[in-house]
Amino acid sequence: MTDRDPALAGALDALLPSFEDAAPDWQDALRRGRRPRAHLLAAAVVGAVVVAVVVAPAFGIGRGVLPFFGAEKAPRPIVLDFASLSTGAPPGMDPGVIASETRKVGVWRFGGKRHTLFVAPTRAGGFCFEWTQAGGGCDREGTVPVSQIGAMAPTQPQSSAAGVLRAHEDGVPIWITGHANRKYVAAVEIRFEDGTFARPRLTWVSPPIDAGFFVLDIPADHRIVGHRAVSVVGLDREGHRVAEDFLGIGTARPDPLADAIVSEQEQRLELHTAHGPARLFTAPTRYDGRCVYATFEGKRLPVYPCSPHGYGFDNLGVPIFPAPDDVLLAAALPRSAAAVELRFADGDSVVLHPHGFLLYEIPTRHQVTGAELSTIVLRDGGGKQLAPPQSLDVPGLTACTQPLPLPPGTHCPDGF
Amino acid sequence: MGAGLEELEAAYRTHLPRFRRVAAAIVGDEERGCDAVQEAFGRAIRRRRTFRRAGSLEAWLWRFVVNAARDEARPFARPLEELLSEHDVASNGARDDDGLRTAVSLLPERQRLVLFLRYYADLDYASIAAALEIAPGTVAATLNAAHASLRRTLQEVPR
Repeated sequence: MTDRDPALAGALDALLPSFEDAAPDWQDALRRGRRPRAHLLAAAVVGAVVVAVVVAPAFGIGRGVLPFFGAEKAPRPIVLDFASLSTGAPPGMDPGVIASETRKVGVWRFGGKRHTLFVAPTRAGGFCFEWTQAGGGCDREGTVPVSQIGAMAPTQPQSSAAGVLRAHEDGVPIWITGHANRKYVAAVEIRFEDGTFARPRLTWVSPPIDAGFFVLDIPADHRIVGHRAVSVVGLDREGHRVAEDFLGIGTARPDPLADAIVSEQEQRLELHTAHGPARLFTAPTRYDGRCVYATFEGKRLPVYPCSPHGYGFDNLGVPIFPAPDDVLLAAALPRSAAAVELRFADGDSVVLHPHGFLLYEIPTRHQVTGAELSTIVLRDGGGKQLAPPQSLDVPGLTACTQPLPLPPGTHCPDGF
Repeated sequence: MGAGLEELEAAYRTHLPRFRRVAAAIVGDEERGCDAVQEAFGRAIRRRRTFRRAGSLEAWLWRFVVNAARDEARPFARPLEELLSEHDVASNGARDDDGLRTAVSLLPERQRLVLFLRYYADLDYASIAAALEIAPGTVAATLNAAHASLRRTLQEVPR
């Protein structure tokens, strides 16, 4: 190639229109010429801009923060879309979105199309977002550290080691969008099956959103089994892992306790069983969340996966943990749960009175078929049921109320 | 001293397609590239009295267009090429094989700017140098490096 390579010129020419037909708008340029300088306008905006100019560079979290209330308001159809998120939502599922404050945050090109990102705050301090033609979601509480939406394409049939052509079941992420919470995360990393990673830039949006949004069009060489995107990791300003959101690709699966800061764990209960002590712990996360787990017979058992603040803290389920020599119940319950009634298949029953936490060894006589635990009922101080009874009398689950090993073909869900 | 509004308007109307093309290439988005040109001229109008006629008015205006386009590319839309470029670095040299657009995206920013100004604006070395505030010799070296990188990438990557 020389100074101006004709072949390259032709190829580059084909990438963009000529703009020869584009109408000039000199009046617009004149208007912009009369406008006060951007930095003078910015000086009038308090709070978010100060964070952008002073704090962001110090933390190395990007080149600026978009003042949310300075962004363009969303058109009415989008506002109505956001408003519909609360319409008819089941109890506890209403995100509480303030649809009238929906803003257009920006336009990105990915997946071969232009997508506009709209964001609206929620009453609880979080936000809902929607990409045109690319999905959306809510972080009602504004506490989720990092989250992603991946678009999957089916994998091409591939030749296995045995020479058999087959398509991979999981599919292949072709683009990923997501958001990171500015309180906890300074950067995100998209990790691939082959150990490589990409760091998409975050576009930060000021409070009340206080989050950064990112997009990655997955390159062709990472749309192959063995090289696919598997997770998005949020990193703090020192580069420490804060949290990881998995796409469910291949063998990469979340460890429900990976976010626990074990060095800061707090023992809540201890139970002396015939097979040694069982202990229930809570541990904080790097994002104001909480993890609950038990230790028993040398294993750490996730009672509740690490969850952001405001999510999963009022769980009404009581997980059961079969161990080689025993079966435990372990739970973190809302304060309103004054009594836990255990009903057994032989008609026996036990009532426990937890104080926020529960750790219980199922008696040996109830670790056998015909006398196993069948139902758990949570009641408040007045005896009223807090949730529908938790029935264990379900084919495939009954065996989970007995010690390991489980009968062949039985699979107990994690923390079941 | 300074530039008159009439001169600016004449340059705007004469070179608008090239301004828009280069800005679109830098931003990675046609619409926002056009907006960047409007913003560039707004800035140029405000600062027209600082034009000292030491170089050409066109080169002076290109500086505004390039800077406005770079500003437009930064805070909002994430140009695909920039994403891929960062990904390439982060993933230990893994490379996209999606053709020329990606090959260009993998060039360092200065090489891309020189390439865009040379090919989309058809500027000579002196004008590119003035627009980017670098030495003319640097323009030649940068363009050569861009050519070499593109040649290497396009030869290695199956189309």
